[in-house]
Order: sequence, then structure tokens, then C-alpha cells
Amino acid sequence: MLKYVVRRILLAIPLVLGISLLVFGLMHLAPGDPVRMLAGREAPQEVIDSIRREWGFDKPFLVQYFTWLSKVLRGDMGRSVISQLPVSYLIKSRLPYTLKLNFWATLLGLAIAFPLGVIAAAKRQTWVDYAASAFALVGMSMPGFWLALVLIIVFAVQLNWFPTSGTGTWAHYVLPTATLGFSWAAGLMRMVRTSLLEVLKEDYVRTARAKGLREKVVLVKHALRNALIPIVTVLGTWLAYMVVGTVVIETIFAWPGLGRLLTTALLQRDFFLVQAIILMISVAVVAANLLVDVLYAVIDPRVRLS
Amino acid sequence: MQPLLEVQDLEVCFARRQVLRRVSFSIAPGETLGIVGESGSGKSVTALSIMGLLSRPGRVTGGRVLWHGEDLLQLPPDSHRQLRGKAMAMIFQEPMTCLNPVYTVEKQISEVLMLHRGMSKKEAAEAAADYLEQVGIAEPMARLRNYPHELSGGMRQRVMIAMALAGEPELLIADEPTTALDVTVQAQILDLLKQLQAKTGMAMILITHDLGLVAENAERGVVMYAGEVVEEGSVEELFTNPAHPYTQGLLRSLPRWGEQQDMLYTIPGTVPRRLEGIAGCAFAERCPLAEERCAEPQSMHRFSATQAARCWRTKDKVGDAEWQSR
Amino acid sequence: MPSVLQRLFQHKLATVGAIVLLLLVFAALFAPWLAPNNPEDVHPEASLRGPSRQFPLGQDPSGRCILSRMLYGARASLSVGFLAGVISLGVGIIMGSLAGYFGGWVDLLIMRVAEVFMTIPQFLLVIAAVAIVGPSFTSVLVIIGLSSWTGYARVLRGEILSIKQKPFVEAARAYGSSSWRILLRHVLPNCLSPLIVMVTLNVASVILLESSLSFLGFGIQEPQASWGSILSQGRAYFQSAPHVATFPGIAIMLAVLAFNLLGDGLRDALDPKLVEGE
Repeated sequence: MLKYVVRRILLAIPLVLGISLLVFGLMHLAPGDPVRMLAGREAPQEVIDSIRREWGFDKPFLVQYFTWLSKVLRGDMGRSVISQLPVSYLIKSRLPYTLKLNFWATLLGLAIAFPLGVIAAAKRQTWVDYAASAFALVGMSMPGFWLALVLIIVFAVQLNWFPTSGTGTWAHYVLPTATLGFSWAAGLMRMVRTSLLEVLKEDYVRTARAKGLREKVVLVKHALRNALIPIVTVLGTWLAYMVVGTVVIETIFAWPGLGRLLTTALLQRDFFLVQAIILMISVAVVAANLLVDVLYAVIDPRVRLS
Repeated sequence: MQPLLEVQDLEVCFARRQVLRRVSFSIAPGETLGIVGESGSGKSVTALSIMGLLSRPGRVTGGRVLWHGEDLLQLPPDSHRQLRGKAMAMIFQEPMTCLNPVYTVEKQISEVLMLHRGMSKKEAAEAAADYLEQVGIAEPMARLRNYPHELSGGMRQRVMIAMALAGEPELLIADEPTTALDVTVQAQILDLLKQLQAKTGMAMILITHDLGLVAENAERGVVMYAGEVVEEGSVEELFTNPAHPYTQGLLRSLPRWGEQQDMLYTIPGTVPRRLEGIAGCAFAERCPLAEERCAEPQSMHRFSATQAARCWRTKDKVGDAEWQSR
Repeated sequence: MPSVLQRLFQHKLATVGAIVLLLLVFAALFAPWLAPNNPEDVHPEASLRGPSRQFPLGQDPSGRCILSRMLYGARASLSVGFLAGVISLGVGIIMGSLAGYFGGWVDLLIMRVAEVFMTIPQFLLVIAAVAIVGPSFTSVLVIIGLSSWTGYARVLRGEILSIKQKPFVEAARAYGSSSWRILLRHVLPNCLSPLIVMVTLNVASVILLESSLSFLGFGIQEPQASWGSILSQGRAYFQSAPHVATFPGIAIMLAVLAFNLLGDGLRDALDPKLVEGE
């Protein structure tokens, strides 16, 4: 088990390097001088020169990359050219908001997707199943930002139950959490249903029924536990999914998290910040995938040995 | 004596396709009944119907399944469920896939003990080790901690048997329990089943496509063909004096000791895929003795006190005797 | 193959998806004839006016006809979906074939790169790249296309690796057949089904992605319109004039839903295994 985890971690290192290379390389996509872009359009010449010297932009690409990488590894991701604050400070101050929002949205998503997916699979080809599947398809096809607008119109503007945007009280959480959790739940529910339907065909489910176990026990203890295996492997994409939602939804609800920080940074062409946010989120995805691998081994005893 | 289980005119459909037609047989407490037939003859469907495990699109469309005289098909599903694993247990053909891969052997056996025998977790663990020992597994304490993928096929089937025994059933249905196993293991498993049966006094339905297994292990046999019982009798009768041409064909296709056989006999033709449109004997199209009247429906004709067959020629021989499956 | 089409049309939802899709494509193609107004005519005095006889879906902040803009917008939204889908399919096939055919370090390198692309959330990659390069119809579709090739590459590589093991490939090689030709002859037909399904579902996600980009202002730029960008203009006024955001949202949802339904239907129709299991 330990060996398995260590192996996974070692495999993640080249991946992280690859990611950093791509993220760094992105800045070179810009037509013209990357320093001019990093520094912002109106930067005076001396600022541009100092950035060029500090980050080694007068050197070849690979040297630039390693200069940048060694700085990043020491926690220096540059300064925001707009606010002049260190990027790491900005991220640290916004991260908790994003984490809180995502935590509740994930919880909500799980609370919707699992019961609904299990019921749909158990009552296959009945109206419950059709309704749940329709919910999932519509949820997956609906743009999150549009759902957010609709929810705001109905619950904030018309009914005046919740504030339209901002943070502060629990009421501020309701609409963003609902939007984010709902869109994610749709896809997850479908996966739970499909995976469970596959497992329900297995012989060991018949064995469980032959033991005289209650159908609920058969479903949850014997079938769902196995259905989790394929679901867990794609949970890494959960984070990627949440990120998209977060960027859009934080922007709509003026939620002071990383997503909104990113869109503002993009609009203000504050690229040190953009770089840092993308890098950080991608590394978080790698970490999540690592966690998934471990979780996978916990759920499926067959993985532990190999 | 009242039979333990009596199946009367059981009919099962898969969606709109009929797969069982008027299946009737019974089994006494402690008895071993063999059900023989080719794949697709409806053996397993019969077993699953008795257990209440038929899954969509299969459903029982007629008949009765009497357990100690009470019709299981009329029971609320939850009452039928409570009999499963306790009064009647079942083991299956594929030991490789029948155990849940994510739980230890201990957990899977204990589950039955806790559910049906009201044991605590600790008691169940001890009893589970006991059952593993009974089914001939060495080092039961160590095996309890194993996951199914760590065990061989024969070992897994033994675990399945231990699980079935754990409910102390009156009836064990063994559906092709050895087909997926190595030949040497097959004999061991069947010996084990016999020995356990002697010890516990449970009845057993042994479902197989192998007439030889029935001869060695059962007292009576039921021969099924295309969703129908075509002959029933004591093992001795079936082997020395088979009445139905299908049983005769099966018998001829068995390899025999001491007889020089260049080639094993095979019954020409295949089992009909659809039963719709066949009112009479489904075997007629493959039967060397088929006549015109075979297209008409017929019931089982009594041949002796314990033997009967669904064939006009039986009727010709013994006349119109009323047959009541015992 | 006719049975595949038959099975597809037996699938009621997939048929609905296909019909909706045809209607949308029709609307996009014939936008100039279908549009009741010139999509670029501004009527400042009628800003944000609700649906009327002349403007069936109302008017946007500059008083332009929303229906007309949506009909023209369908061109942008759908063609970004299709073209980006084609680009990623092409890149995926090339990368997958190279990896599968050459194996060794080429394979290792390509699959590592693919892993990098799969790990960085696509949306972040795309939005940053578009912002850096400068948002436009072309940059959006090229960047989306270049960032979603990994799935195709994996399918193709897997198929090639399994075909390479087959004895007939060895045999053909022994007779001096070019292995490229063998691979193309046998590999592409074999992974056609998963590729078709993937493209269909991929187009759905591209449309969604483009609309998110446009909504945030990093997509199609004025005066050109896509559904996402029309919706985005309605965002500032959605409390007083909800119709501006509502209708393009419905259009996006319909299109994505149609592709998803069609994709599901195709998957079932192309995989007889699944159907029999039902």
C-alpha cells in the first residue's frame, strides 16, 4: 500500500513539471514581448526592464523557465502588476472563499446525485428513473451561468428570499451553492446510475439477494460499494468541473474567491496572477488525483496488491 | 408425508417469450433431486423462480410453488425474502464472480449469520470460521481475512457453500455447482455436498446438464427439455428404463465404463429457440420416433409409481393412468 | 450499417435530438432569410424592449432584434462547436496514431503531454490562452480545438496497440505491406463508433465552453454575436429585462441537449452489446 502511494507520488512529479512548463509557455503565445504583457500595457519602461532582469527574460526560453520555476518553488510567484501586491498574498486571501463555496456545493451535489442515482437505477425504466434521467440531461446541458441568472431572477429578485450577490451571511451561500452543486450533481447522478446498473447485473448481487438481504442492503452495501470504484476514478475530474463552475459563478455572484480573481486578472491583463492561479489549481487537480488513487485502493482490495 | 417443496404447473415468461411451461415436481425433506437438461432448458429459471430471484424481464405467469404447503408466489415479497438464505439457500455456477470482490470472506459469511441467526459480530466471526472448517478449508482463521480474488475457484465455491450452510437451510439448490471448476475439484465439491447433506439432513436440488452427476449424487431425477419436464423418475428407473426418447438420447450420449465406443452419440438438431407455436412435444423435431400426434399437447403419463414421461408411447404402453408428481 | 441508423431512430430521444439539431442548423444556414430584422440595426429609443410583433423575442440594450441576432448567433455557436470538434478530432487522430504506431519514447512523450492537457482544467487553459492571444471567433475555435484532443488520441492509440498484436498484421507485414496502410485500413473502421460518439458529445461541451467564454467576455466579440455573447449583454439588465438573457440561454441548452441526446443514442445504436443488456 505504501509502495503504491509512493509510486503514484513519484509519477506525479513529471506531470507537475509538464504542467508548469505549459503554463509558463502560455505567456509566450502572446504576439510580441511577453514581458510587456506581464507588466501590463501602460507599464513604464523601467518597470519592464526590471521585470525582464528579475525573471531572466533576456535569456533563452529554457533558462527563463527554470528561473521562473525556482522562484515559484520558493513561493515567489511575482507581484500583481495592478495592485502591486504579491500574487501569493492575493491567492491566500481569496482561497478560503472558493474552498467554502466548493465544499458546500460538493456536499449538495453528493446529496442530490447519490440518492437520485441509486433510486433511478433501482427503479429502472419507471417514471422515477425517467424523471431523474431527464433532470440529469437538462442539468448537464444547461449553462451554469444561465441557471444562476434564472435562480437570481426567481429567488432574489421576485421572491426576495436571498441576496443577489456578495458574501457575509449564510443566505449569501444559498444561490451560488445551489447553482454549482446542481450542475455538478446532474453529471454525477448519471454516472452513479450507469455504474450501478452495470453492477446490478453482476453475479454477486444475485448472491446477496439469495442470502435474503433486504433490497436496500443489497443496493447500498453490495452494489453501490462496487459501483463506487469507477465513480471514484473520475472524481479527479470533479475538481476540474468545479473550477469551471467556480470561475463563472463567482463572477456572477460577485463572490470574492479565486474564480473572480482570475476573471478580473484576465480582464486587467494581470498575467503573473493568471499564471499563478492556473498553476495552483492544476497542481490541486494533481493532488486530487493522487488522493483518488489512494481512495481507489481503499475501496477496491484488488488494487492494493498490485 | 407432505413434500418440502412442491412446484405445480409453473410458467415463466421473459418479456413476451415463454420459457417455462407447466413445470411440476416435488422434493421431500432430506431428499436429493437432480434436474437435468441442456442449457436453455429452463433449469436455472426454475431454481430462480423458487428462490424468488427471477429478475426483469422474467416473471412468473402461472402455477404455484408450495413450501411446506404454502404458496411462495402468493407471499408478500418481503416474506419470501426472509426465507431466502435461511429456509432455502442457493449456490451458483460461477464461483469466480459470485462473491463480492470488495468484502472479506468473513464479512460475507457473517452477514448471513447475523441476519438469519441473530448472532453478534463476534459470534458470527467464530461461527464463520467453523463453517469454513466444515467445508474443508484449511486455516479457516486466515482465510476469513482473505478477499475473494485471493482464493482459487474451488476455494470460492467452498466459501459459497459455507455461506449457504450458514443459514441452516432445509433446502439447498445447487445450480451447476461444479461446471466452472477443474475436474479434480468437481468430485471434491460434490463429495462435500453429499457429506454435508448427510450431516445436516437438508434436501438438495442438484441442477446439471450432466446426467452422470445425477446418477452419482441424486435419488430422483427430473429431465427438462425446452422449458418443460419431459420425464421424472428414480435414478435407477431413469438409467435402466428411460421412457422418453430425449432421456434415452441423453443416456446414449454418456460415455460408459467398459464399453468400446468409437464416437459418443449426440442427439441430432438443437433446442428450439422459441416455444411459441409449439403446442405439443418440443422434442418432436429431433425425435427419431416422432409421429403426427406429437404435435398435440399431452400431460405426463404414469409409467410406474415413481416414473412418468410426457410421451404418447408411454401412454400406449401403460394406458391412461393418472399421474401425480410426488 | 443500415441497422445502426434504424436502431438510432428507434431511440426516440436521439431522434428528437437529431431533429432539434437539424432545425438549429437550418436556422443558422438560412438566417438571412429567416431573420425578421437586420441583426445590426440599432434602435436606441427601443433599448431592452420586450417581445413585440416586429421583434418577436424583444430587443437588446442597443435595441437590436434579439431573434435576428440569435439566428446569426447560431452560426457562430454551432460552427465553433463543429470546427473545434473537427480540429480536436484531427489532432487526436494524428497524436494517437503517432503514439500507437511508433511506440517507445514517442508514445511516452505524447501520452505525457496528453496527461498534462487532461490535468489542467480545460476551461482555465482556454480562457487564459484566449485572453493572451486576443479573443476572436478564430482564436476561440482554434484554442478549444487544440485543447480537447486527448480523448481521441487515447482511443486511437489503444486501438492501434491492440491491432498491432493481431496475427494478420504480422502476416501482412511479412508480405511487405506497408504497416501504415494496414493500420489505417483496420484501425479507423474499428474505432469509428467510439470516435463518432465522442465527437458528438465533444461538440456539446464545446458549445457550452464557448458560451461560458463569451459570457465572461472572452469569446466572440462585437459586432459578431454568439448565443453566449448575447446572453452576456443581457446580464447587466437581467433584473429589469430578463428576456435578453432568457432566450439565448434556452437556445444554448437546446443545442447542447440535442447533441447529448444524439450522442447517447449513437452510443446505444453503435454498441449492440448495450442494447441487448437492456
